[in-house]
Amino acid sequence: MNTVDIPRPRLSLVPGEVVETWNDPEIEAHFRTSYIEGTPPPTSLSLDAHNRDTQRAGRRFMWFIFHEGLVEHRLKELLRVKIASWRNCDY
Amino acid sequence: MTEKQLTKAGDADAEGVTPREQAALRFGKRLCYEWPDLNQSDYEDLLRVFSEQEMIEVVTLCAWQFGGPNMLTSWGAEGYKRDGKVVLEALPVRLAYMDAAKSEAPRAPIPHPPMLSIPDLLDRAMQRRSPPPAWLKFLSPHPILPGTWGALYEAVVESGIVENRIKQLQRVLLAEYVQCPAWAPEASTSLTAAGIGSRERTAIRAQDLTVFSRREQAALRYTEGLVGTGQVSDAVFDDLKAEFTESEIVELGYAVSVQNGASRIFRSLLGTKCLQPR
Repeated sequence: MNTVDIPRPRLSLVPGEVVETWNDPEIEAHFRTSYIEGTPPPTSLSLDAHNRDTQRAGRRFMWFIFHEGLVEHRLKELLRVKIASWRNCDY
Repeated sequence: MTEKQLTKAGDADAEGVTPREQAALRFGKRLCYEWPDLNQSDYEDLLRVFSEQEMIEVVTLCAWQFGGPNMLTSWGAEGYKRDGKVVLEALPVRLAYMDAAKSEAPRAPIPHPPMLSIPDLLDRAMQRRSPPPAWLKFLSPHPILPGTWGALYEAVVESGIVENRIKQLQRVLLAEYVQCPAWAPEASTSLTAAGIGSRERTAIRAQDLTVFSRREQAALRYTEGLVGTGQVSDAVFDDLKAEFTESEIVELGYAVSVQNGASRIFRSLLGTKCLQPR
């Protein structure tokens, strides 16, 4: 019989009730963008929300390199998808 | 792009992919599969179709993407998906701003962050030799990246809630694994201030972690997984969770990810024209 290896979550998701008490427009904007664009998944944001300072620095870096840089966005999406796949990761 | 084109993208004969995309994908693939062999010709290949600033952006994005997704996988992020997709209703908690996202109200733009000054970042790097000043100088022609990459490094490697010694041990392990001593030189004051000297370096090189505390061992085993195969076993993650809070684990994961690809690229840049003074 074939079996499918389903990964199990190892860190919990930080609930919305916690994140929303921060009243942080930058983090709110990242979450709302995530629901609309689908990337990064809102679950990724809810994982790194365990550490607010790390999340802020990490998401700023990722947002500006993916969305505000000099190189065309399509090229960066291609890199994102292909490198994740070459590294055996989901994207 | 179609799924077929996406699958083939990165191959020499890929269709529907521009020369710029092909060059970027060639570099990304070399980083994933042949990183020890990256050299001057790889950067010349990129510079044929990208400006210097664009090349820096492509290379830095590849560096992040080399390690970032593995970090999320190590946290079990994919376990929250069903058939590869996030199903909000199936999650164990309500995520932040789910309701607002369904509204028609315009969403606020991502605000521009306060940028750290490049001279300040370089000054700190020169004093600590962390990160390597030459890496920041390599990034410096780009208008955004030295500030955002530098701020992330400051937040998760040189600051944060986990004791600095553990983050510096991670840095040494990374430098040893990628065989790039210049990423964590012995004279780095960040290392000496954390009490890390030849004894610790020798132990890491010999993969003998018994000289370290249980907490340090747990962090180093996690780092080994992310830096080596990119995969972290259940046993290693269970040990990590026994020693660290979830907040600390997030910081440890980012501390590795910001350096995982960057240190390999930095190694390949040593001795190339890309690191020569401008």
